[in-house]
Amino acid sequence: MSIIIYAIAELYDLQSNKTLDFEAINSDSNIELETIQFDNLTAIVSRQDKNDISINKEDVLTYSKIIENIAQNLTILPMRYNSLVASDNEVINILTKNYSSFNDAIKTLYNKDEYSIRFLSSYKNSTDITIKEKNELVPDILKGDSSSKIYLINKYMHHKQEELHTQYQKETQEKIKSEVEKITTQVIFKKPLTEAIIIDLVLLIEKERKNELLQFVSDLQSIYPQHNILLTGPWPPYNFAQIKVE
Amino acid sequence: MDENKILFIAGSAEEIIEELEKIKPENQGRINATPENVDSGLAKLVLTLIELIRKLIEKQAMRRIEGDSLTEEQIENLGETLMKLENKMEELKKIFKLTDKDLNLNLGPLGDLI
Repeated sequence: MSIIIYAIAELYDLQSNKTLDFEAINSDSNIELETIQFDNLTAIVSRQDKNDISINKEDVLTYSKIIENIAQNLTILPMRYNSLVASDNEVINILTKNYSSFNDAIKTLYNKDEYSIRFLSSYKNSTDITIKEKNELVPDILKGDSSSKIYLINKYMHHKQEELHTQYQKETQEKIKSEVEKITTQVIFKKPLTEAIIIDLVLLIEKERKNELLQFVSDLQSIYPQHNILLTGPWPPYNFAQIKVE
Repeated sequence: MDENKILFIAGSAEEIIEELEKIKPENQGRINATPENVDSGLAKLVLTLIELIRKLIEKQAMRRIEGDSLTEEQIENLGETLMKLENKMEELKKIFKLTDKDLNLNLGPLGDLI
């Protein structure tokens, strides 16, 4: 027998919440959710017969879907998949030991949602090196028609192209940063995972400011027509609730 | 991604979908060594590290070219060496049936190794 922890929430917030429907979540996921309290903190958990947790796509998706459903209505600290403990006492122990940091984190996240903004760009259009530029860029030492030099020229151009891309990415990030900070200071720039993603950021904003965010992104798109902007959310505050659980 | 999570999208949806597909966990490089494929799993890991070192050597060479610190003879030698190194890597990739895409490792939040 073991207990899976999905999220930590504030008890009063949970009790006063009229929109959170545990029964609907339970019937959607076939998982019986319940809560374990300590003082003003509550852990949203489920019980299972096994003592370990299976690592498969389906279970991971169910876990994240449950967290997402709860986060739509409640300020929560989402727990990592695989947050498994043996007993109610262990849950209470976690809530006790992390009492201050959980409360502080919940305060910071209170009534806020996480959104993701990605800027996609056919950056090659912006940083492609023209033939004329190529001739100017080639260092004198590489000019020649030996196979070694032709090989090195190609490598050198590729290297310059990468440099231009990185520079373009940095400059765009700086500009976007100052724009985004006009609506929230809780922004995290992530390392873009593909070349075409110029900006990959997540931000935290009050739930009631969703329309403001939409307008902001629409305005950004007018300022940067060369990029395709993608706004997604609201997401559970995964990137802003990174606390070390003792 | 759940469609109702997309709040704003501009330009080509295909381009965006294509990019998001690339960052799906199942499309990111991982060493999936099992008792059955331990040889190819190990080959993939070793070749990935060799490729990383080869690319670092290449970067260093480009810096030296930019620094204008190489003689004509050194340039010829450098070009030939890098070319042979790349050809050798191509041979090894063919032997172990690996592609460029395979020779990378996803380091989670740190991004890709190469």
